[in-house]
Amino acid sequence: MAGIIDDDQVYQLVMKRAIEQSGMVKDVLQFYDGEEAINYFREKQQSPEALPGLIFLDINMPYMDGWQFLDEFIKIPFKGNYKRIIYIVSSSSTTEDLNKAKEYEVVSGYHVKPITKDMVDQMMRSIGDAA
Amino acid sequence: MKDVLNSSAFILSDLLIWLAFMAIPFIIIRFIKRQPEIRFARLYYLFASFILACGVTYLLDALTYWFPIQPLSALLRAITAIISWIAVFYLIRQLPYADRALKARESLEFEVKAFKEAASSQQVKNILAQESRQLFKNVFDHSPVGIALVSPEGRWLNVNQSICEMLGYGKDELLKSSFQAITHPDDLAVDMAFVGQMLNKERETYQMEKRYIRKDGSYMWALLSVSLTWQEGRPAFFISQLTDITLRKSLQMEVEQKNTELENHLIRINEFNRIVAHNLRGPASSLINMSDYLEKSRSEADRDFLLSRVKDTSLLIINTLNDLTQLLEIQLRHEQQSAVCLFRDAYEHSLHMLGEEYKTASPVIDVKFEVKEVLFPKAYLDSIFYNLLSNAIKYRRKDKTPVIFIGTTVMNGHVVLTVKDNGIGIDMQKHGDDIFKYKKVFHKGYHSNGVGLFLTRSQVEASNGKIEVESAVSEGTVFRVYLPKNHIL
Repeated sequence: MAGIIDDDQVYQLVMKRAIEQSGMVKDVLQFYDGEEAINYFREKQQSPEALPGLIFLDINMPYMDGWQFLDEFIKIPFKGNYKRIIYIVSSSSTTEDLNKAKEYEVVSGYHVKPITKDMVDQMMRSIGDAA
Repeated sequence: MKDVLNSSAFILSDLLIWLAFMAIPFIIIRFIKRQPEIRFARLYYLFASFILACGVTYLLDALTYWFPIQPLSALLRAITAIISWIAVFYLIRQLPYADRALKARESLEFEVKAFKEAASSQQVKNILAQESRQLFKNVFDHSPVGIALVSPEGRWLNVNQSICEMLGYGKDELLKSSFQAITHPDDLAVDMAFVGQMLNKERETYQMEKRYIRKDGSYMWALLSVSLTWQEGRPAFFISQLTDITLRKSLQMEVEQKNTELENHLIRINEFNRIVAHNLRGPASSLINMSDYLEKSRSEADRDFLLSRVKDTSLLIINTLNDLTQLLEIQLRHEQQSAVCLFRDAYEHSLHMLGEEYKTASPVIDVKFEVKEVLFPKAYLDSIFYNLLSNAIKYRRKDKTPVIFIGTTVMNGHVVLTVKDNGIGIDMQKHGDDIFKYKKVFHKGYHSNGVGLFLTRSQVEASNGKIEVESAVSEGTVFRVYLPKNHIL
């Protein structure tokens, strides 16, 4: 299962279709801001089967941005050994954001929008590698 | 014949010895008489008598050749013996005194010598003192450093020409005044604290940078060094030295101001960079992904959805560009000239602009403008009022009558505009850092666009002001805008 956290509806649709096309995951969870996403993770922290193994996270979102989401996410005491891969996918290529992403151990990679097929394929492969 | 010759030699020698013995006492007595003051006089007389008596025995020996006066001679010898022994005893008794006198004389001579030395050194000292007075006077009169003698109470006791030139006062005028009277009010407390410490002997000197008020009312920055002279355990006068550092200070302040400006520019450039990275590159990337997908996708539903988003996404880009243009115009301070604005006008203008929103909310507004006007760009003041009042009304609690306070006051050299509401408040823990950032929104369902407070902050900062916020969820929010206080007020 994969999760997309982004307020951009176009990106949500295009990314969802790309993930589906790869055939690596069955379901795609969609959250339109950090707050919506963090509420889901908190709610499902005891249910590993409902948690996405691959997360695509935007930085700039209303109510709760990507960084705030990560700050809260790492505090959640998930049940069992919850394996997840988190990619930041943002339109920002500033040094500030790239460096900040490196501060989060939980973040596996950083990709700058617009997304390309290669980019999606590479990210999707990582879930196969992990499995 | 031989006997006669022998006798004659005896008699002649006796007579010569007698004469010599007679001469010595006379010389001694003559010596004594000539001295103005003589110690051991009795000893001298005894000595003279002893010698005289000895001499008489020789005379009688000579006379016995012609006259039979042996009994008389024997008597005189006895007297001579007695006088001799008296002299011997007296001499023995006087010896300690003589010793002491000798020593006393030595010490007296030593004292005299020391006195002479002291006298000559005092003379040198006097010469030196006179020279150092002259030196001090030269320094005092011609030093480029301002030098003043100041009484423990602060009155100018003496000032040199440099001080008069620095401060623009005549010497007479200054001597009627005190340092307190011409010290910048903001610097007086520190100076007085130092003076107090000096008088309490807690410190021996102090140095500070302070402002004096010149005769023409302008301020002079001085580096002041002060020492205190004590006389007989009492503070006599301060010696104050002043160096004019006005130029250095103004350059320093200019550099600091330019530095702050540069730092602010960097912060703004950084912010601009962030907005471009997220708010412009975001929708632009979306358009690229959209066109890619439209080419490939065969799903009618997807194609319809994406096409419907093309216009919104393009509008988002153009609106963001408009916001950025506005931001740059504010930061470049184009077009907007400061004018004297009445707070009341800005307030009424904002109510007018709010129109229906205001009527729907029907808030209770407490208005208290302690400060009536400010020198500020009018359009910005209208915009600030509009945004803050609009927020206070928009984020009201549905279960309460909105109560809004809006007022101005003076605080630490600023005119402070306060807008306080009893609305839903903002979670400062979560959003405290983001309140004034571009397109940051904190409440769902209010159609917030995250631009109002961002532009408000830019307008305030472009005019060297600042804005602060305090808020608690369900209790309300207070915005404080610190506007620069202008000297026209």
